[in-house]
This record gives sequence, structure tokens and C-alpha cells, in this order.
Amino acid sequence: MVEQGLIRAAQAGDRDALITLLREIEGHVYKTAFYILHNEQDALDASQEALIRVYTKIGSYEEKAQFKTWVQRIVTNICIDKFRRTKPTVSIDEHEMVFQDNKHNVEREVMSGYLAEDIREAIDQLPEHHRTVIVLRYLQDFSYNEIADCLDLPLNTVKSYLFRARAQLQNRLQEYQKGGVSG
Amino acid sequence: MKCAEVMEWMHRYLDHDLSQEEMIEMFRHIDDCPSCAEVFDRLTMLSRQLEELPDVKPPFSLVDSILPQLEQLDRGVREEPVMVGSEDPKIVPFTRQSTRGKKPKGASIATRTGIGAAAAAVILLFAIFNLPESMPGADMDQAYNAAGSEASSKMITGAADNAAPADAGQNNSTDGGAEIFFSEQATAEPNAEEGAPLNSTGPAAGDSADVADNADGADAGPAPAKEPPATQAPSAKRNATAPPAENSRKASSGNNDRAADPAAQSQIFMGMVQEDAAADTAAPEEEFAGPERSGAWSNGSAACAGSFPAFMVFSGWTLYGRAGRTAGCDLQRSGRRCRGRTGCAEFSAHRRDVGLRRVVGG
Repeated sequence: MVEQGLIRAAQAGDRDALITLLREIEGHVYKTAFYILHNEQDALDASQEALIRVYTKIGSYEEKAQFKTWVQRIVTNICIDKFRRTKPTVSIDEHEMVFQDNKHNVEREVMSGYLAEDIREAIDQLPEHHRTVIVLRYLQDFSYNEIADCLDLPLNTVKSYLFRARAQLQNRLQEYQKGGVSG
Repeated sequence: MKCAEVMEWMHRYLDHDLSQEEMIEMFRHIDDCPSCAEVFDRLTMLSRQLEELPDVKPPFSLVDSILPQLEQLDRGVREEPVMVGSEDPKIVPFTRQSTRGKKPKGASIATRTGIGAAAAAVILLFAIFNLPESMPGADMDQAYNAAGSEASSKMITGAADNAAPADAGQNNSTDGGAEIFFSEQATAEPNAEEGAPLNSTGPAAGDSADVADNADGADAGPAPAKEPPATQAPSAKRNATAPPAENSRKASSGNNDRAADPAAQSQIFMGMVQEDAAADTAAPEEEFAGPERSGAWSNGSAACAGSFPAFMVFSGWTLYGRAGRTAGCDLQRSGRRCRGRTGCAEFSAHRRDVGLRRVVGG
């Protein structure tokens, strides 16, 4: 949790405070970018862009919103833009590569639950908004309300996205598992 | 309780959104419903694994990697006020700047390059129009007005596109042209000097010397010829062909100090207009015409009210130059002295005409 005093100092023009602030949030920013984009290079680019935007727009942050949701809104917007631009090439390549990897391990690990790589793969297959909701819920530990603030969506929409996303993940992982068992 | 409803509650349970009572009710259903129990197990497992997804860290410090960019941004921010500061001295205090927002820097740069282009075009045009100087004054008037408005419209389009003469179809630019003329005088004084050698290539050697004289005066600063709200060069040219110009030329050197007052005043108005041009090229025409006209009149009356003979001559020269530029005044054209705003009905009529045309953009 970022300290409110640091944010105020940064907004007042204290450059050191602003840099400290950026250092505190860079991990969160990168994590979101990585899980939405599923690609290290894209995640690095998106995170850097997001941090620069935080740096330049810090003055426009208002305290009525939570700082972390404000930051995550910036990252997710950049990621969704990036995702839309790079989707065709990136996701297909990644998909094939990961899929082959899975087949070796599925039988061995099937009883201990889903594979982390399967889960990441399944997340990557989700529509962008469902994926973003999952990432915010599970990797940023956001509540419904925080997700709604961050994505500027109604609460009910957030819930339905999240429930549907979970159901889709569930179905997909089940398919992977069955495929692994039978094959 | 229906299974579909329980399904939703399962999700809410996973998100810690269920109350104690709801949780009890849900588990009661799950205990009795094997299919819901299976879904619940799977969902719980999925959710647990999602929560356990590995934390990822960037391979290097992202903030360190963007520090150079941030410094560049900072420099960009810091440079802007410096630029604004260097522009400030050019703005005369009598401005409406406080009530108007500062225009984007790009606009003022465009204006400045436009002024440069306008200055070049003005010099060129004067060199060209110097040739028919031997024509009678009355004819010149018409030629001048036409040339003036044409030049103005060229100037306007020239500002946007340095290239060449656009079609002079934009008649509404008579006013805008004056703006550019005016600010050009204020900012590009060396051009006046440059204009002299250009003029000297004209047919009449005596005339060109005349113009050179005036140009020098303009350079010195207090030049009265600068106060009329239009180009100095046309008036200078008028002087070259007109009879009273002889006297005024002699007088102008001796009366520079007397001229300083009205000239100073005109500087202020010029500054105002220039600021107008720089800050808001699209200013309402009335706004522009107002200060300009009053400036011209106050100068004219001040000049005409002078009691020194030399000064009277000088004032005649001034008014002649102005009237020649705008619409002409019969009094002056016939070689007599204009007595200013109240004395010369025709002159004010002309002034009004010009003002009106400017307002309606005719």
C-alpha cells in the first residue's frame, strides 16, 4: 500500500518522492502487464509506458479514487491497447509453444490440480476484459468495487465478467486435463 | 434453492462476498447436490491456484530504465517557461493578455514565420511597384488600394504557405493584411533599411533617395511614418511622388524629437496591435479597427495642432502619407495641407470608409 503522504509530496512537485513512488508501484505494474500480455517484452514496454504516464499525469490524480486503482487503470488501458495491436502474431506463437510443453507434463501432474502453465495458457485465451478482470482479482487482489473503479465498469458487469471468466477457465482446464488423461 | 443461483453464490463465496447466512445456505445445498458439489470443488481448486500464480518481477529496474526519458520530459517542461520568458519583452504592457489565455507556442511561431514571409513579400512588392512612380497621384491611389489589398491577401496566405502568391480572392483579408503589415514594421525594422537599396534601383534617383531617407528615419525608431496603421513603405512611396514630400523630408530630420511623442504613442498602439496579431490572429475585426483608428487620429490631431511651421509641414507629410495609403484625401492630393480629423471631412469619411470595410471584411 502506497503511503498517502508520498503521493501528496509527488503531486506537489517533489521529484524524489515521485521517483520513490514509481519504484514502489513498478512491481505491481509489471505483474499486471505480464499476465495480461503473456509476453515479457510486451510487458516491459507496457510497464515503462505506464510508469511514464504516472510520472507525467500525477497531477491529475484525485484522492477520491484509490491510488492503486488509478495506477492499474493506466496499466490495463495500455495493455488492452497493446493487446489489440499485437494479438494476431503473439498469441498464436505462444499458444503453440506452451501447448506442446503441456502434453509432456499433464499425466504426471493431473491429480494435483491444474498446471500453472495451463492456467496461464487458459487465461491467455480469455477475451481481453475477462482476462483483465481475472488479473486484477487474483494478481492484484482487488475487490469487485476496486475492479469496477479501475475499469470504469458497473459492479454487476464486473461480477458477470469474473464469473464467466472463471467458468471459462474451469471448462478449458478441464478439457486440458481430460486430453492429458486420455492421451 | 436452485443450482443456477447456487452457482453464482459459489463465485461470490470465492470472492469473499457472501454473508455468514448465505454461506450456510449454500453449503446446505451443496451437501445435497452432488453436481453442484463437484463444480464447487473444481472452482475452489481453480481459484486457489489462481491465487497462487507465481509473482513475476521485472528482470531489471523499470524506473531506472526510464530515468533518462523522465529527465528529458522534465527538461521539456522546464524549457517551455524559458521560451515564454524570452517572448515576454516583445509584448507591450498595454495588452489584453491577462484576459486572454496564452496561445499555444506553435501558433506564435507560425505567426512569426508568417511575419518573416510577409516582410519578404512586402519588400518584393515595393520593389515591383516602385516602377510606376511617375504616374499621377490620383491614379496611384487606386493602384495603391488595389495593390494594398492584394498584397494583404497574399500576405495572409503567405503566412500559412511560404510559397507563392495565392489567389487574391480572399478579400476579407484587408484587415488581416494590415495586421501583418503592422507587426512586420514593429519586428522587422531591418527590412525598412533593406527596402532602401531595393528602391534605389527604381527609375528616379531623387525619389529613391527620398525613400532611403524615410527608411533611415524608420530605423531610428521614432519615425512618424510608422504610426499609420499600415505599411510605411507605401506612404514613403507616396512621398516620393508627391509635392509636399519635399518639405516633409527636410522637416522630418529636424523634428524627430517632436515626433517622439506621437510616435511613442503609436508604438504603444502598435504593440497592442502586434500583440493582437501574435496572440490572436483571428481577433474580431472591430477590436482591431478600434485602437488602430484612434491611434491614427490622436496622432493626426496632435500633428495638425502643432504651431511650428516646420511641424505643420511635417504633420502634413504624415497625414498625406496616411491618406495616400488609405483612400486619399483631395486636400492633400491637390497639394494643400490637411487639418486633421475635424478639418478634413473627407479624410474622416475616408477613414470611416476604410474602417467600415474592415469591419465587414469587404
